Amino acid sequence: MLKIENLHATVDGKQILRGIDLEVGAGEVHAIMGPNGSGKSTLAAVLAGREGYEVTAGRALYQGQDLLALAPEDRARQGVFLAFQYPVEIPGVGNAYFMRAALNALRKARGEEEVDAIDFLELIKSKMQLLEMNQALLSRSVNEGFSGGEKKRNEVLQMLVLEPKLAILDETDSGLDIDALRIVARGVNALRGPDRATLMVTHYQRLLDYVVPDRVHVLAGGKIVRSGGRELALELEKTGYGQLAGTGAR
Amino acid sequence: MTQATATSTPFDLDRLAAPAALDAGALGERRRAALEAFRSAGLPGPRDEAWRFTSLAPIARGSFAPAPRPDAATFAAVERRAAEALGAAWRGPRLVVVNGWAAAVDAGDADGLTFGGLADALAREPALADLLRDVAPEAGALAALNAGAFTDGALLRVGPGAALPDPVVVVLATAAGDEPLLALPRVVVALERGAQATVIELHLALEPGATPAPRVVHDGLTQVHVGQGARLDLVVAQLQDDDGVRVHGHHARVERDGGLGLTLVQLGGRLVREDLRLLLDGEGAEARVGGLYLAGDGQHVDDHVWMEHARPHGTSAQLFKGVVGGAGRAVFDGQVHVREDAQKTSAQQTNRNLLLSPQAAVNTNPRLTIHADDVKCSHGATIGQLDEDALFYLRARGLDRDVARALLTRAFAAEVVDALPAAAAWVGDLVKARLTALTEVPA
Repeated sequence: MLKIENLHATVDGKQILRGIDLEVGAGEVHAIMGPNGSGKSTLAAVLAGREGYEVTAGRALYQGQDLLALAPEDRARQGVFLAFQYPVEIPGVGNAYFMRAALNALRKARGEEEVDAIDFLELIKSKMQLLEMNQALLSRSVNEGFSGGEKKRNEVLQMLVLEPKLAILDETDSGLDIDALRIVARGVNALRGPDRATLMVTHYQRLLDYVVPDRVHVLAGGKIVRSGGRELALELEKTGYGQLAGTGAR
Repeated sequence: MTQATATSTPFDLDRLAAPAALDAGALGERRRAALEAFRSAGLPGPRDEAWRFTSLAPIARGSFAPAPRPDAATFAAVERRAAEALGAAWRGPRLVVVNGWAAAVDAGDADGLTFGGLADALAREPALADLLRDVAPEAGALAALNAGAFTDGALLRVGPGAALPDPVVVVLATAAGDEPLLALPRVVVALERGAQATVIELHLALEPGATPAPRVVHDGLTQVHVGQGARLDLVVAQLQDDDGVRVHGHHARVERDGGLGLTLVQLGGRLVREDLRLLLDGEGAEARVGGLYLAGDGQHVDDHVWMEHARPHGTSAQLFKGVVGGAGRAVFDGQVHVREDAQKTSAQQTNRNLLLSPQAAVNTNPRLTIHADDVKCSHGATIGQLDEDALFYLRARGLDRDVARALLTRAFAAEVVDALPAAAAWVGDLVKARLTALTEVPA
């Protein structure tokens, strides 16, 4: 599904990613953990196509094609989804309108018929139920005035509506209380399947109690310094990132 | 420089000709005095504070003849354009004014409504001339020119306590002629005590396309009177006009407990200038003003707003938004003036501008002058670009860059557009189409 090879990237001329190698197969859930400033969010941003990040070496293949050559909207249309660490507030653009426009952009790209407002409303209400979201959020502007938890749930809601093949969750768990975390995890798990993959970027082990990963990678100093099974996350929880960060610098 | 050249103007004032009713009696005297004021002031130039950022140079060296009354075919063509723009809203009382001359009116039969061509109305009922107020010298030379030389226009009066069921539509159009023309329309809207009405003033050019030099100069003036406890919703919509130069003033006076809701939407043009002068002249008077101006390549839109609080307990709220693309240019100059007597005034003025390209430019200058000591006033202005984070967010969900830009730009304008009265919903469609064109970026 996703194959990253020797990926180097800079932001404002500063080297952040220093050779990432990572392969995520269909049906798998991978967690990327690491201390602040290790490059976790940069990796997510580069994969989604945010401007201002320069890839200086390496490549990322998505379903065998060069992901980094695609515009952000084309990545989305081919099934890549980024749940933002800080979802953007967009005053004046209705939340429901936005999600339907997004869904229809994807459907159009796949040669499918657009979804009308009534069918869409039914679809989104069922997804909102799963996430225990207040339906009033549909008629508000995108993320405007949402609480931190509501914003994160709104990201997961979009993910459920758009049904991506590759979901990248950038610290979707940060700032959530345990109930919200459980609900968000329910949303992520709902999308697990043999033809989908998930890359979870997180600072905390907690999320992994609810979304059990197949692989855990530790990112430090812009490189993956350790990979392992779920037990690696538990180990980190005990020992912290301290030593590992040192490993990355060597 | 001799005295004669200092006051020479590009307008052939010797050929002015207005209906007799306008030049008779006291009104005639007032007109001659106003025209004299214009002659001695001349065309405003860069030294005039109010014209620092807007140059009339494109017309200064031209020669514009007072527009004669257009023929029936021209009136009919304007009517078709207006009907097309308004769609289902093209009904109810309506009047077409072309180059300052009124066509026959569809006055409807609403109780309490007097509505028709201005010259006609004054010929029939000379006492209506009292509704035409003198123009203050501060309103500038071009307002004085209109006061001294307006040819015709529209007069609308709503009697005490009357509430009009349908909006009244006045179309102010320009149409090019064999030679460059000067159009001088005057609109008078007067709501008497407790009256209620919605008025739509539509500005359009019959041939809106760009020409090498302006073919029509529109120098118009709308005088509005909102009587005690009356309520007027006024929508002014200016369609794109790259052909002519359009200078228009809206001068309004609101009496005690009266309310004026004004929405000004300008889709852009070669040179569009609005002078909005509002006087809250009674206790508890209220004005809510929304403005949206758009300017693209080769277009220049300038809004000057003067909001004067003369009495206590007045409320004014202004929200002006501008979207400028290409090498377009916009000017906003807003002055809120609170007189010593106007205690307990609440006044608010906001101007926000969105620049869609590196070549686009805006000059904004909001000001407050407060002579009372117990008031609540605020003002502010911003100039910015589309939010890159929001653009990326939309694109990361699969929306095209152009679609995302158009969506964000429409969202920016929505605050003004959504506040339009239902009868003017068609204005929102025009805005949407124009914004989509403005946001398209050549690949």
